[in-house]
Amino acid sequence: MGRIKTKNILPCFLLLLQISCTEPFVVEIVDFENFLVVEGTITTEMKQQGVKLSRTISLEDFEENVEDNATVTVQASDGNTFSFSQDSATGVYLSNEEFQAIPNIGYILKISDENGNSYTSKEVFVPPVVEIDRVYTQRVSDEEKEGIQVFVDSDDAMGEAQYFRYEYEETYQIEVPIYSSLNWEIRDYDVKSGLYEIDLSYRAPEIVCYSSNRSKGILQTSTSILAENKVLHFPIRFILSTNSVLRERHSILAKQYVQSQEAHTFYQILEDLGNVGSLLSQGQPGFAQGNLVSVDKPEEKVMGFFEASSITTKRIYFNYKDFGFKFPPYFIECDSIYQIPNKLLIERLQNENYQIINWEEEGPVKTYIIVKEMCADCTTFSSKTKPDFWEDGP
Amino acid sequence: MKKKLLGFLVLLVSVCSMYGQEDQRITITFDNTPLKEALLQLEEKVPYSFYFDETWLKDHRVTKGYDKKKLRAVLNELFEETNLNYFIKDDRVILLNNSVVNPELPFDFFGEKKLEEETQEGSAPIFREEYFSQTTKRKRSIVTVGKQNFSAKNSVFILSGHVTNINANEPAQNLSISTTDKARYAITDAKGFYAIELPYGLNKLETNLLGFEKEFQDVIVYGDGTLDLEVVENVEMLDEVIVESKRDANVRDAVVGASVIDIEGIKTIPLVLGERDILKVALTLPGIKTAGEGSSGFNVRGGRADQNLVLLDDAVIYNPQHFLGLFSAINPFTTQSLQIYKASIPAEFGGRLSSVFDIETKTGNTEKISGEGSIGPITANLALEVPLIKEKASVIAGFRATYADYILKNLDEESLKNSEASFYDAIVKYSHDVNENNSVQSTIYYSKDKFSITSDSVFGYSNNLVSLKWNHKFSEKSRASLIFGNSRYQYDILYKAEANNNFDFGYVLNESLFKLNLYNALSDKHKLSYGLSSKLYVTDPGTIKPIGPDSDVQQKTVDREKGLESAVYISDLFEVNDKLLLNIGLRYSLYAALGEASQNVYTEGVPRNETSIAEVLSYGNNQVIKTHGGFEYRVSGRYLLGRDLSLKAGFNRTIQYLHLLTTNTTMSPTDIWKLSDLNIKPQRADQYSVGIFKNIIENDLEFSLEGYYKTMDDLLDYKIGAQLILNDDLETELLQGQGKAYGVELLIKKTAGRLNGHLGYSYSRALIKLNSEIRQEQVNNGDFFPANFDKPHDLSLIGNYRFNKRISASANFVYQTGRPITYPVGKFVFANEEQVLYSDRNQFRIPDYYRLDLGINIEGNHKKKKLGHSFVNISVYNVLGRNNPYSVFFVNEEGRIKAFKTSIFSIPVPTITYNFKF
Repeated sequence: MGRIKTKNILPCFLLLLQISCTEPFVVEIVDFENFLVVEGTITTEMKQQGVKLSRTISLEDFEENVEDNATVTVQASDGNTFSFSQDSATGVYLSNEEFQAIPNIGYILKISDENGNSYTSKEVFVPPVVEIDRVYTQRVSDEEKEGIQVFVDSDDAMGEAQYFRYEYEETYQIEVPIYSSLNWEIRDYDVKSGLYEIDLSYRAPEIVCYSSNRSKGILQTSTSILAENKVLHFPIRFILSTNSVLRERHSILAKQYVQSQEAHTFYQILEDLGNVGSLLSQGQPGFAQGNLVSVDKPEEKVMGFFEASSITTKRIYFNYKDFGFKFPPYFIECDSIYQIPNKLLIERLQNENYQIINWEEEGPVKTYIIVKEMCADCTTFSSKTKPDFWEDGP
Repeated sequence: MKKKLLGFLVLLVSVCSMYGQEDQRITITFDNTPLKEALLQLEEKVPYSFYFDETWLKDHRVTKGYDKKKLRAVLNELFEETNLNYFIKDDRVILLNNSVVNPELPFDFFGEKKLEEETQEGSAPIFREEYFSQTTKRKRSIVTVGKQNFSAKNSVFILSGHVTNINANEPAQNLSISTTDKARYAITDAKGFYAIELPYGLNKLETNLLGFEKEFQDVIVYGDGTLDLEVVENVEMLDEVIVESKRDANVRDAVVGASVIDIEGIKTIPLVLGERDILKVALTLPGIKTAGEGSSGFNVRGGRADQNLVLLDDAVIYNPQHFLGLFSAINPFTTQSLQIYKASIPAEFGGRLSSVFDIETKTGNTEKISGEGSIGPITANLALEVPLIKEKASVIAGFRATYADYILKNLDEESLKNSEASFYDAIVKYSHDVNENNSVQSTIYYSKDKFSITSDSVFGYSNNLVSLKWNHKFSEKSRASLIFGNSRYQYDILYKAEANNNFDFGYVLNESLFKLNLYNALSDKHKLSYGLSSKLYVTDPGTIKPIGPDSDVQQKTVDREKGLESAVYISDLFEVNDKLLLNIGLRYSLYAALGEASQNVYTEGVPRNETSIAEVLSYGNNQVIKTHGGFEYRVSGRYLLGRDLSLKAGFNRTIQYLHLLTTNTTMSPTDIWKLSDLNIKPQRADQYSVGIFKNIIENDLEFSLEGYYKTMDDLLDYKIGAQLILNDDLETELLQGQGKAYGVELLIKKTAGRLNGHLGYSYSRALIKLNSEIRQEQVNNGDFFPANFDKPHDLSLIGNYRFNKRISASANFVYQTGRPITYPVGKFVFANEEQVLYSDRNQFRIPDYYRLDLGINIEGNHKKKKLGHSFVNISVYNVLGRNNPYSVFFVNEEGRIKAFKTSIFSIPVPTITYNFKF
């Protein structure tokens, strides 16, 4: 059920008098504290398991501070030890070999950073597996918003699991609104006169691509107050009907993690701390203590959690037409521009990577028809590789 | 020609060489000459200048002839029939009213002045200066009667006179005139004449007659004399007094840290949205704070919000506030007074650590039907007093309700239309004087709040209480009262979203109390109060029920908790001598947690959680689970350093057996009261306090300076992210720690006059320490850290100026250090999103708070025959428009941390309230 948030109390009384106000302000910068942040979940899925290490950053920083050159191992109570190595692309530490969390075996995460500081987690056990019952969509229309809500239902017949965390991965097809089968090249550019030639050559147009997004934030629920261990109608993703990701076939992969009570509590605290705001009463913020400690310096704070979690997934596909929505607009405006070879044209081509889709000749003057890159070539912001799982629609 | 009156002090300093060239002989004749004229004529004939106050000479005429008389002889005869004395110094003749200048200083002039002895001896000189300062005018200055005389042999003189009722301009009959100690008294006859025997020296007189204002008159008696008095009928008047202590009580009582707020005095104070609010006025006193505007609960001397015993006619009121603390739930029209004890808590009270707020309801008018009401922008309020048996029994009833809900329903704004915000409270008190020795009274009170928290939930809470009290007088020296009471506090949350988790959550606390108070004045020196009390607590810490057929919410009830708190107490008000007064109290309280219940026993030394439960014990109904108890010492004393100056000190120990659990930084009505049990220990506090108290100018000005140091043990706190609602193993979420508070409080009050009010300042700290061997159970590394309500500097100024009988203006200024908050010091990425990293708890502070409110009160006319009286209060809250941040918080928006600050009243809020009385 969670805590009772009193966020909207005031509107019912005082906003009516227009005397209360909540306004954003710039936080005064305080010396920040540099702690190790650990986010590690090993699951029942056979795969290279991952542990993410980073450092806390100050409030005005934007770049995530990934912790490099650490030694990461997971020790299992059956005697196995799994070593992890940092993946150069993502910075995440991946296990050198594939493995899966096995019930009734305890796992401990051990980290030592490049300065030789050691950290260890408590021993964690994987909770029972609960299958996702159903992932489904519903059209939502009210005055404020119109779109598609993705829900999860889950039913634990055994009744052993109570704490559920969700992630999703959405993958969607993209089709560019304008095809371009032309490559261009600038030749004989004379800086003084500003004159140049454009060479055109044919290519296969990049029409269809596939993009993926990971869910952001903590999505979790518990059935501890419910009569049955049944997650019903739990919303994991809402997509506005005008969102461009809905133009073509869309897929959501829901991942259900069954958590231990401790892990659930830690995630819940983080979630609450991200949203302690309420007008008249506030939750008490503070340092969220996870299940990791420094081996040598007990007073050093370590942020984060190492958990073993059972995972099940379910994928669904859908399309905006199924819901009777209008065709959503493309990600950007895609107007065709007619342009003779002048300074603006070369700037657009060279600096902004405009694509030429065609040309017209009137006497000696060629007029090129150009569009923005994203409108004619999806590989510039997406991938033309069709994912292995992708099933084309009817 | 204007003559000067020399300061009396000067006279005292220069009492030497009084004889000069006064051998000159004078011849002069007066024929019904005004005395002043006579003196001026005399002055021309002698080489002396005369100094006097013309008013002394008024109404005196002389008809006399002198032939070659000495100046002294002339003057002696001239002043024979007057109260005047004189003395001659150099070339000056200085006239004195009633005084003789002593050739020598009295024996202990520079030492302590012992008034009582002087008056008894009768012939000792009386220095009028002892009683009042000549620089300040009082409404009723000291009157002197008779002429001061070195050889005043009679120790008793007769003062006689006539008393007039100035409203009707007729004699006031059957009026009693007595010394304030009631040692001597007289009653006026049918024509308003009286005669009273009074000892030589200062006498404090008071008049007493039902339906008339009490008049106080200080009289210095030098000899027999007359004094005419005037009394006024007790009609509705503008009140001048804001916060009123009993006359002299601040200096004379043996208690430290006590205040009385008289409801009549607070009606001119400007308050938010025009609601007269006795609890808000309490907050302007030093040592009483709140975490912020719009947070319920008080913090008294570094104590938490749950440590205050709020009593309404002897029964506990658990949530005395409406709408999260913006308004108090105490009807101002039915309230008589609020007595606050923040240090020396009388032994009869117990069960809370920090303070007692003892609210007394008015006794209804036994003569005629009367009433009072108000209409303001938020609420309407009506109180009625109805006599049932003339002069014996009456009822007072008050009802107050808000119409905010009605306004909301009629708004065009869609988002507000479905909101709910309503509250009301009602009180009825019956009083009956059965006979001279027996009286009974009973109070029934109910308050209810209901509002939307979010669009899909409705939240409601209510208080109801009943109390019954029988007072019996065995004799003049011995009396008893027997009290029964029941209080119930409950709240309820209805949650209706679309999914399968619609629910109805309820919480109930019920307290039944029995108390017997006995009083016995053993002797002049010993006055005993003793008694016993017992309270039964029954709480249902949470029940959740599904709503609708689709809800999967399981009906669940957390086990009922029961506890019995009993106490015996005795206290002696011991007057050791004239100067030293001790109040020695001892209370023994015993608490028993009762079954039916099951209790977890945890393995020592590891964090308490589901896995560290070693054993589960079961207890049958009313079986004792665990007892806690102890002696509570309540000792205080007063030592008089002078007539209006005293030093007080006290030690106070208190034990509290129930605890308020709140997940919020400020008290909110959804918090849970948790009884002590096998795993939860009671909280304990020790407070040491000292104070120095001074009154000047006959109590118009009062000063007090108090200091305290308080330690608290086993304060209940909780882990971050604790789940407090519907938790069967609540103790796994809780921490118990130490508290420490200290401070200095200064209060200056001007209790009467055109300009009155008070200035309060306190410097205080409130610190908490949550330490444990186990890391997860430490907060701030186990060091002391400031409590949420720790506001070191706190200044309040309330001023009220009366322009005339009908118009008065008032102002209220508050300054406070900003309260501590926990600040984000960094961020990190977790779950693919930025998360906030918080500082140690309460490491930073929000900006300082200050606010100015202004108000004007306009009374209707005061015609005697008018049916009703009315007044209009116009007030502006937060005149400076200060955007006082109440809270600062951080929200994760789109994966980024954003900071917000909230202020509740960020612009000036004007209000008009119409009040009437009949």
